[in-house]
Amino acid sequence: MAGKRILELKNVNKRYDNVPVLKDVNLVVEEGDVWAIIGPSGSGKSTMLYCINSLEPIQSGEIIFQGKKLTDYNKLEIHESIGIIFQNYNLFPHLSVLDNITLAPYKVKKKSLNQCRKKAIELLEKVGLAHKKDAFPHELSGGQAQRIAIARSLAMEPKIMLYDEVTSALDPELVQGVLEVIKDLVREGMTSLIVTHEIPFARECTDYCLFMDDGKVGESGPTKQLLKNPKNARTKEFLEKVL
Amino acid sequence: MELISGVNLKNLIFMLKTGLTTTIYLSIIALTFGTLVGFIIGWLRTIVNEFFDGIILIFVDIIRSTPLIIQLLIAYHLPGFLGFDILTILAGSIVIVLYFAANCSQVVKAGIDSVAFNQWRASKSLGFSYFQQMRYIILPQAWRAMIPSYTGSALGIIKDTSLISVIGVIELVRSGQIIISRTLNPLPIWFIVGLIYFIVCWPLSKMSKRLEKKVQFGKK
Repeated sequence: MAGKRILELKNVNKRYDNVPVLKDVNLVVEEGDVWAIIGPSGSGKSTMLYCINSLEPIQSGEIIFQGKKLTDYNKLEIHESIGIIFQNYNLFPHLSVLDNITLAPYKVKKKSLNQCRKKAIELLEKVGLAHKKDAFPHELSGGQAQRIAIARSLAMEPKIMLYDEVTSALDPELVQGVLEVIKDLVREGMTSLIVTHEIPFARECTDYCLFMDDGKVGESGPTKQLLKNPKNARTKEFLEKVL
Repeated sequence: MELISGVNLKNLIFMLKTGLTTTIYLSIIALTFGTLVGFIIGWLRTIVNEFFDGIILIFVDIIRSTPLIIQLLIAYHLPGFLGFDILTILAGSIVIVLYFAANCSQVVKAGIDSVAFNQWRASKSLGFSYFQQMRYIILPQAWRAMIPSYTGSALGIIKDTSLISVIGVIELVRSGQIIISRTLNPLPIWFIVGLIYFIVCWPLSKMSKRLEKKVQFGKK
């Protein structure tokens, strides 16, 4: 690991209306790090990702991305550099697979259409779906849709990828294909924060693990250690339930 | 030539043409300005806060919950009561435009709201600005929900322009009445008038069906 800090959360607090969802969350992510974020539902895992991508504002604390506070960036810079994949893919249903991938680089990054298409085809090959380039989202299986969503996000050439329970809406036999794509990206050194319930996947593919509990960081540390010998009683209880 | 006793064909056609011209004029005014105003109001309702939305909704509800015929009668009598003069057809046009705008705004608001919040979130995460989101992601999906109900409202307002006859404007229905008052033979005239409405409305309804197919996802 290069040891260069790419992302840091300092005492981050987030409320929805008056309900606190993140309470003094601290996290340091170095370039190339792969984090698993686990915890019971409603513990703030997804919200944390939304805050990092500035899809949701925070009420106090700081999120520092590449040495600069998130609030000092314009939103576009953040969305260009931080990719996020959602549980329900959220492909654009009115656009073909190819257009889904090219639209943002073409309209947002103002690259030439040819360049965007070339890149899109490369990405489609990478996720193993080049033959689906002219299909529409409703013609895809969940697993295919999710891989397209990953390609769409990669087309913006992000520095860091956030995955929000990306396999939990999938049929069991489709999960593996999506995880393989994520594994490939991880191997290439993509800094990643992966909210997941797939503990075996986390064990195999992530360097660090963060256990969220009721909006707080319950425990964090190297994945293998945390999964094997959880120090926190709540972590232990959670792991016993999911494993 | 006397087609129907009392009125010759030339007069009949002349009367109906005069009425039809007014009906078409009113329809075009209503559809153009009503759509424009309705679109702006409907869109505003999706971006303003609850308070302003509430205020807009009061106006929209008043218009939608009172009969157009009453609104026309008020628009007819109100200027005189307030002491100024305005062309009857202008007052009537304004009422019809506002009435259609109110209906149209509901269609637009519902159409935009019908697009899942996740589409906003996903497109935002890719860096699209608000207007880019609207243009490339939200509206193309919203049309799909809007077109059938918009067509319904549009056909409705074309037919409802006939109500302006209560304030003395001679449009298609009123010209039919005038012809009948001379011929005293209502049935064929009402058939003819009905047929003319059908000839105007039916192609629009067909056009909308084709448009609906065009905006179906995955068919280009």
